[in-house]
Amino acid sequence: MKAPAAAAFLEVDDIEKTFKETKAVDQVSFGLRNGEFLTLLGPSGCGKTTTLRAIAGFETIDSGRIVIDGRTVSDPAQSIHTPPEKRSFGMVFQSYAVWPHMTVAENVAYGLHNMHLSRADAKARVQRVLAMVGLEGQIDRPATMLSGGQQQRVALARAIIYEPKVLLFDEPLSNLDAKLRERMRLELRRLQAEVGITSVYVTHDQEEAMVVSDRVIVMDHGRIQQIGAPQEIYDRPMNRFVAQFIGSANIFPARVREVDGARKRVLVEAEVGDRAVPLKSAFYQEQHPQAGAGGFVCIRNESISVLAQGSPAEAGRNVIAGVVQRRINMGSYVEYLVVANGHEIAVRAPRSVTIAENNAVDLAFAEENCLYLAD
Amino acid sequence: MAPLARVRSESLVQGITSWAVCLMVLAPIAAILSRSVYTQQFGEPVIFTLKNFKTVFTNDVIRYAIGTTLIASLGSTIFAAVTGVLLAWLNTRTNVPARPFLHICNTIPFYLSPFVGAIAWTYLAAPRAGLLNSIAFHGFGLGADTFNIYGIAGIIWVQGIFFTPIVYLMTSAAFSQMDPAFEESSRSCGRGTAYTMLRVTLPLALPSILSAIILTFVSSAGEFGVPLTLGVPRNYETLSTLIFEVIQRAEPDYSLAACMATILAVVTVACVLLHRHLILRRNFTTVTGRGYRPAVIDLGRWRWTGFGINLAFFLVAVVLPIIALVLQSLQNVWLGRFLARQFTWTNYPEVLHYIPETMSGIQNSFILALSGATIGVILSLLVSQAIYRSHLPGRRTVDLTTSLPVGVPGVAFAMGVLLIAIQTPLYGTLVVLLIAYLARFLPLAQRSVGGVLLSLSPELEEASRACGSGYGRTLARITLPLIKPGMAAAWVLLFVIYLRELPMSILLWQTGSETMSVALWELMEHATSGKVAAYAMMQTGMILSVVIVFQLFVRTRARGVA
Repeated sequence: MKAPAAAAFLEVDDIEKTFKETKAVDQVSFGLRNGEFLTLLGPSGCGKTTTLRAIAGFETIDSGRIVIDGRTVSDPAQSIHTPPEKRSFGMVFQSYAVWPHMTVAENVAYGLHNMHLSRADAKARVQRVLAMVGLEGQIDRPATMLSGGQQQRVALARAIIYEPKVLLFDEPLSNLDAKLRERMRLELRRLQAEVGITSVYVTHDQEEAMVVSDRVIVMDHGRIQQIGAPQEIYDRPMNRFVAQFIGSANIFPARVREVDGARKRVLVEAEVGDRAVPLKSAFYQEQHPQAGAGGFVCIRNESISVLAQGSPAEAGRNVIAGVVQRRINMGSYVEYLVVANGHEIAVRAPRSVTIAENNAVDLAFAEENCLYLAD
Repeated sequence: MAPLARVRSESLVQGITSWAVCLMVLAPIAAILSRSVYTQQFGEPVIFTLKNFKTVFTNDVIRYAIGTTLIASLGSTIFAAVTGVLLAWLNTRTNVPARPFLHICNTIPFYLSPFVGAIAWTYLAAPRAGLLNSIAFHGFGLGADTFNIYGIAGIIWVQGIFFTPIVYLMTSAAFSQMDPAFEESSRSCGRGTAYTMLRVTLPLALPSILSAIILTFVSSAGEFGVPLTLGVPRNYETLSTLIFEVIQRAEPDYSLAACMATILAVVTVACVLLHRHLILRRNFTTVTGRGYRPAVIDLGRWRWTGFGINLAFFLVAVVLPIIALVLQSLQNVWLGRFLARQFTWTNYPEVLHYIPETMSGIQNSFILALSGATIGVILSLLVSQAIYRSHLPGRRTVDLTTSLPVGVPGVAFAMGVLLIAIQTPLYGTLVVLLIAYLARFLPLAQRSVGGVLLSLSPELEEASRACGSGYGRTLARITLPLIKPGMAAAWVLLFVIYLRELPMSILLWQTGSETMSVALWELMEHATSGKVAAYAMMQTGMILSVVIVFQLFVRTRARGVA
């Protein structure tokens, strides 16, 4: 699948990388416009980090092309492999990689050597960047005496000080504790918007990807599974992998009965446990199912309502009958495990729903929330 | 394959260095192997033959030497394993008093020369003349030959002492880097200290202990100076000393020597490969590289006993031999004990001019140690970078090859170098010794430098590249400052080893390229024990000062940073 190549600031064109027998990166293409924040999201081993390191030049690619601001930096067909130090990018590493034998200021000023600034200008710039990341007071401290969060900020300051064309983030927040991680996400995004540097961000944390990105690329087994805005990917996953990796969803095998092309709706027969249940389903416009085609339906846990059995059904809703197996208090919400035809369905409900275990219930969900997936 | 245009200069330097180093290692080994299956009389054609192998297994002298080598190596390995593990356990896992002090005591013999140690022990425990025997005779009314350092038992005793630090250092590392959660889980399952020790701690440390034992066995099997001093005078030959003698003959039989070297090297190289296997496997299990504070067992009243045991080792390994050397060196004639009327200072100045080799030996050893340690550290840095940081084709092979020489005994390796050097104009020069030193001891520097490089996250270097710095600036500003401690430790280790090296020097030297240990050996043939002791003390003093200066330097640096 190819992204529009028109005037992309950073362009990754059909790159491939094989380690021993396994294809780490397989036909990956995407483009970023200037100032865009793009996230590569996927489980470990999906090829996201290799893609990032290929952009940085730490990995060579087997085929394909990488272009930064009109300059081709990787193209094995033309024997081009610009070394990392000539690519003009800043990078924030998972381990921060703050140099332990230097002070904060020395770390941050390290990349200024190519800008030929006067001593005073360099110092002023270090101070300005440290102020941006909130480390004004720490300028002469040894880097080893900083906390994890502070080291993260040093790494960020070090990466942006020489105004690189591209910022690369390799799981920068995964070593921080949960509270700090949530704060740093927002700060990262604010800072990136402030400096306006085109950024590629790698993470396996889907929430993080949702918060920071303009666009998200979901990867698996070296291949791009879906590209889109965070909300779009969440609402309209293209396949089972994306649906399950992002958020939580119930997925059933299904067979298409009727297609309503005008309304982009299908009627399917879903296998819920040992029984076939007819469901009205919205389908994703890029998939054009035929009657009789196989596939799956996907329903997000929070799209399902738990109602007492026999509640009046609203129009356009699907209903599946079941029995509450467990009610799990998750603090801010309640998780219901409901068994329908011997199959367990997970439902996320508000705390106000108080149906007790072993009660018969109806599970209701709108047809817009029941997505048909071809694979 | 990458087209040539994409090969960067640093990859080229690393690649060429790596393959040159491999050649330095493999060529002598190949020379021994090939020489073991052919004979050549001067001016006559080369004849392929297996008769030397037949000789080795049928000749009684050689078979006897194989037996002696095996018994002595096994004996000293068991000795070193028991004391080494015990001392490591005391120092890492118990509350024995003054542990930092004891730790330093236990590592000192690691740097000292086993050859000098063996000489010192003849002064302590030679029948009749030995200091300990004279104390036993005059002080306790025992026989004047209560102790006899000559023979297999003596070899085992001295080698055992000198190889204990190898086991000690490797086992301490395993004991102190173990995740305490392993032991805590055992304790939480209701198991006591002793049971946990036996069922959890020891088995987890076993790969390290085993690999230390293998390394000790390899070092023992190839040891030369100790059997030369303690075995040969009583006709106990080992393979090492026999190889030396066969080559020293008026008509040297290189093929027979090569054959014995092959047999010795095959066994020891196999051991090194096993050792590598254990080490590689261990790295993925218990030792995570995180700094742990291991649980300490309260020995109660026994802590002073533990302290005593450890101090006794230091006494036997370092203090007694040095006392013996000092006393001996201050006597005109040694009459079994220190006598005021025999006191003299003159051995020290006189020995320097007694034979020409003593002065030039010191000079040459320093030239070799300084240049060798410096070149060796640089080589190991380049090779480590090639192995751990580059995409050099065949870097696994380089890794394996450069680890081999540890397993090739000095005498055997030198024999290979000799076979090649003798055909070149370099024969008999310091250059040949330098190349032999570099190749043979590369794995030691490699382990130290490579170990530090491996523990350094590549991201630290990549961050520098990302900041627009090339290979040179990254090396100077990031890599070197961060691995400096490991480089310095490797430099000191090489310097000390080169300063005291015997088995290769003794095979490769010619007039003009003698080293300190060679001069010491010559003195043993020609001079009084007072002069030998004085010269041995000089060498020991140089080694100890280098080690002490380095330790003090490390200490003050560490304090400066904290």
